[in-house]
Amino acid sequence: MNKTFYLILGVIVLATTAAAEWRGWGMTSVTEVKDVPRTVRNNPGSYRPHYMFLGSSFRRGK
Amino acid sequence: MTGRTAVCPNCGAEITFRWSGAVQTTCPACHSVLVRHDVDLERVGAVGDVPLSMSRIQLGTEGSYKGKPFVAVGRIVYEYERGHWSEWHIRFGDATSAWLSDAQTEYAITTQVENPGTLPAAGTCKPGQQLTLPGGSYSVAVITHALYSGVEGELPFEYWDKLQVEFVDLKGSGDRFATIDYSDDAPVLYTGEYVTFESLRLKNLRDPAADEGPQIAGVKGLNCPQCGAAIEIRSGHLAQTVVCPSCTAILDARDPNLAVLEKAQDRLNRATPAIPLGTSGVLGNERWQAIGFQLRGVVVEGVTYSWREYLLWNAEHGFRYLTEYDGHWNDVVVLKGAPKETLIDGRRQAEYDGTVFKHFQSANAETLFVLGEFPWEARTGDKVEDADFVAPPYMLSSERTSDEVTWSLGTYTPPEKIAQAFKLPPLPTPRGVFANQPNPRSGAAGALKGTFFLLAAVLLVLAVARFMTARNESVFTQSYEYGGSGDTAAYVTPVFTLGGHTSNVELDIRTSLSNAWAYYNLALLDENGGPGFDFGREVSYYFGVDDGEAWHEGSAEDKVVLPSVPPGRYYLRVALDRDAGAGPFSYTLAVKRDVPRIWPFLAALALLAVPVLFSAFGSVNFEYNRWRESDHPWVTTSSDSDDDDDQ
Repeated sequence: MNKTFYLILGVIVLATTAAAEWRGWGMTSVTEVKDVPRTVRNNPGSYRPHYMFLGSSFRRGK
Repeated sequence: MTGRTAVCPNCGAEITFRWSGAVQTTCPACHSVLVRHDVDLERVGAVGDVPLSMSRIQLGTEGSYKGKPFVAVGRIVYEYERGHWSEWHIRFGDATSAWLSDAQTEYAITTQVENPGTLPAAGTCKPGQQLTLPGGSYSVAVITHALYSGVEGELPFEYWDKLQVEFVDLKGSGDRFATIDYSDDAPVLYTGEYVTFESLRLKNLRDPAADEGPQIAGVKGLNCPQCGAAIEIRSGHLAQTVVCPSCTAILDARDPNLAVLEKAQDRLNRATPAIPLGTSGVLGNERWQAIGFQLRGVVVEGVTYSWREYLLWNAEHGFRYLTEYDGHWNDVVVLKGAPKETLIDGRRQAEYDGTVFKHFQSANAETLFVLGEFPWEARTGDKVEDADFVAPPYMLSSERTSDEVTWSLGTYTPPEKIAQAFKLPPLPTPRGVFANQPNPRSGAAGALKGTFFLLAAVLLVLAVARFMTARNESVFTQSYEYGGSGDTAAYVTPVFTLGGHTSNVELDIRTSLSNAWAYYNLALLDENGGPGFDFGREVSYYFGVDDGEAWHEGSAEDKVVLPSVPPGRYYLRVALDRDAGAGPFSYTLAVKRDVPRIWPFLAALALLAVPVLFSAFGSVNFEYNRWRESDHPWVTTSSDSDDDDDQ
């Protein structure tokens, strides 16, 4: 690989890493939802989460 | 250059001496051999015409060696299995003399060594044998049994009635050369060095065009005695054998009738040269003509591995070779000096011109097919012991027979360069890795390594800066109790502030679960409504003892980092799911803002290392494939061992 190309690639990797840390980028599976009504705070049961529980995957020991 | 004159006692012709110290001369008119006795000349015999040769030198040729002008005053001609060579007696301006050897356009100047000490007896030297002589260490290169063929001009001794003479040619480091001459009762040592035609600055040279008919160098028209096909000889008197291009019979080029030395060659081994014979091309700065072609091979476990050799000819520079195996080409020249062979850690290596060559392979090579003309008696079935040493892009090769060791230096040459030099259509692409093929990835990993360490250092600085400047702020912590089955009502936490810039948020869940699980439906929501972050986490922790062996699965704690959460005031909405009948447990929720992580830096480091590792792997893999075909593979298999045994 060309040394200059590698240097450019390396700078891009460093810049991306710095930006990722600064902005808090991550790979956690989180669903960003829009327009959540502020009334949820007063009535938590009215909120419908996007994560639906399908039961535990653990079986051993039960 | 005029000197003392005398009269031939046989024919009365005038004899002019160029050198006052001459003991013997020949009459140019009647070819009588005349020996001086003070002022008289005695006729002691007669010689025939001196054989014509390719030598451009003649009596009276002037030149310069190490700044000293000389003139050629005499010559002894010898005949051996590869033709003739001339020993020119040259006289310097200071009345000293030396010998200029001209053997197939290879030139050397030597002088006799007085009191050389004990020299080996005739018939005792072996090719490759090391000898310590005045002037240094030498290696026996060629043992020649030559026939005296003629004399002319002035010589420093009587020499006219010899028959067979033994010579041992020795090569030292660099261009050093020596000969032990066994033509007299006591051996005589001559030492000197190889010289080039150009360096001698010769004048008054023989005009080859002055010779007549087919005896001059160049194309000579003849017919095959076996099939009648036209035969061309391009290297003139240097050709010893020529092959009929039609019936492939090997013919004696020295015989005016082209005697058949070997009838039609084996059809199975016939090959077509990629460079048609007669084709000229420019290599370096000289024009070379392809005049000979050989198919040679080694047999390993019944399988023949063959390569092709092209003999190239240039009237002033002599011969050189091109070899080709599986599309890999080498430009080969025969060395004048002798490489130094040593044994390091049980492994052979050779040193030449300051470069160390590692032993690659030794084998018995056999000539399978020949075409064109050769300055030696080329025959199918010719065998040599071949040893190759490599220092890419160079390869040193020694070929040993019972009376000769020849060293040659090959330079790996891309096929495109060969095709361009000889104006050929594109040649086949090389297959596999050749012994002295330059490693295209060699040094690439090393070149990237410096950049890698620079980038890694910057990455370390970034990581340290990140860990030092991150807020890593605890913004919310609260403990809760789960009352038991049926307690699944969602609730919200108090509002907390996420400050600073858009960054991550870490939620830490610590529970007292024991052989139980809980699923958290979680949402991080803005106090004033709008966008939010929805996610779920399962916490489960089981343990026990089975068959006396303790085990556990999962953990009572969980941690999650939410990416890129803008600053603002937030709260958590929490809803728990559990099995029906699950008991109570307690848990704590803790929220942190702008938490530094190490893994992005480790991932970046790994990413930066990939090209370096890839280059290094490519280089190592190339070398592995190179040595896999050698006598020294990196991984020895049973078949490799068998190969070694074969060799």
